[in-house]
Amino acid sequence: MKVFSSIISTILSFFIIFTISLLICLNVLDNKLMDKEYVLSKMYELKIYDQISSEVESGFEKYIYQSGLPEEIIKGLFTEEMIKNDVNSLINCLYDGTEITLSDEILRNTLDARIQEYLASQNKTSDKELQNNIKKFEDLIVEEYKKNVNVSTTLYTKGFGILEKIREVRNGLGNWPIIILVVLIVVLVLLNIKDLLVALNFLAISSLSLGVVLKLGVSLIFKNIDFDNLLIFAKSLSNLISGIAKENLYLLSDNGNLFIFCGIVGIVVSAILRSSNNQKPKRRFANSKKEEE
Amino acid sequence: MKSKILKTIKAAIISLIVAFLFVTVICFIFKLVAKEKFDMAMDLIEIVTVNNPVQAAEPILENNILINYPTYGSKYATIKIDSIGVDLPVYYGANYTVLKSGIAHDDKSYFPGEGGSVILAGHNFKTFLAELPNAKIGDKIILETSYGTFTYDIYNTKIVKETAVDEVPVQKEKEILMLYTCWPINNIGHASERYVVYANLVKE
Repeated sequence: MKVFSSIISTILSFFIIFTISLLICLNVLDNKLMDKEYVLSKMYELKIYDQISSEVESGFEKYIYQSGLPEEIIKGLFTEEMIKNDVNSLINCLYDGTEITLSDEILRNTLDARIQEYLASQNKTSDKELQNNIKKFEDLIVEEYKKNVNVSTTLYTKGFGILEKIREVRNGLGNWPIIILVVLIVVLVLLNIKDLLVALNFLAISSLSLGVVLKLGVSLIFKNIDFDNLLIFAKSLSNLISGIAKENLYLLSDNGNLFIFCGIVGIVVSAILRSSNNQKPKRRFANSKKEEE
Repeated sequence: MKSKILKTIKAAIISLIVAFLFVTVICFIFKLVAKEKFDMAMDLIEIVTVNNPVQAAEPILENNILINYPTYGSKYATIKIDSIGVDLPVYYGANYTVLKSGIAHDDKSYFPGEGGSVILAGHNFKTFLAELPNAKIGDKIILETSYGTFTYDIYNTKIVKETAVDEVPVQKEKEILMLYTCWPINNIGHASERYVVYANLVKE
């Protein structure tokens, strides 16, 4: 019976590890990755808007040097507010499926006005070919702007689709992981009701194993991924992704430390208490022997 | 007391062994179920990871093959066209940062001395290649590198569409230097044509 209960307790502990792991993942998903406000706050914190502004500006330089136009034409062509609005519009599209609204027309109109003003100041006559070249130049500048604020309607629509699927799976799971965890712990306790220290010991072992697994997983990811040198579409987007990933991995690592600590304390406490409990009957037996004599 | 301590230690060690076994089993399950997908994901991430450039050793030319390519984006030569007063640095790689600083060497083309197409490009600024259309057939173009000096003779010039890549072909039958800039020189707006100068290697 004791062997049977030990085997069942071991299996239950194993499932407890998986259930807690699942709960940790769901927690990260709910409070971090699926939370639009969290992503926006990280964008402010990691200064992503500033980085995008610099990327847009250096992107414009590609075309200004071959355009024959003075550099001042592209200086201050967009405001940081425009970048913020456009990027936030994309984030809204990604999380809420709302339509993307961009300031590209404002950009085009400002650029065109500046070019026309420059041509007038240089007394250049605007023929059809020149207008064509200017139109092409403006198209390239607007495309560069869009590219740097990471506009790809397909990308965002796909991203929204993926997030929707994740949401569906998450909603389908509901509170079941917590219920399952509680049930597993209750069954483990009931199974060892005669000696609750055994249940405590199994819980401590689960906690320690989970902590070690978390730490190993995080180390494995950090060993294999060079977060500082990731380049996904643009440096700003890569910085956002690596910033969020690193923060959550550190969080998992901290959770791992906590679980390891709890596990070790639990193991030591249960070992001390169990060994002192095991000695009590012997003492009683010795006393009763004396009494008999 | 001693046996109590021993029992405590024994119980703790057994628990630690069980925890270790748990971790081993979990790692084994991970390997069995997700190892392949994890490796695939890591390979994908490797693709989007930029490796920090390693300082390349000095280039050496041996039997028309350049050993030790320069680091991408680094200056490796100087171009001189005395007839139009050009004396500019040449950088390996044709990105926009390089084009701001000097002449860019198309990284898909060969290096001077390798016996193939050497494709160079530069902006049509006054201080860069604005005078290139004034270079005449027979004018000399000199490329000074750390591994040798190469002299080319201009034999042709052409105005081509920006999309006409076959006008600046990469080949390894004959060493030809192709140097181009945006055309027209005083263009305003997007320049959709290129002014190309073709030159043969005459002295190595």
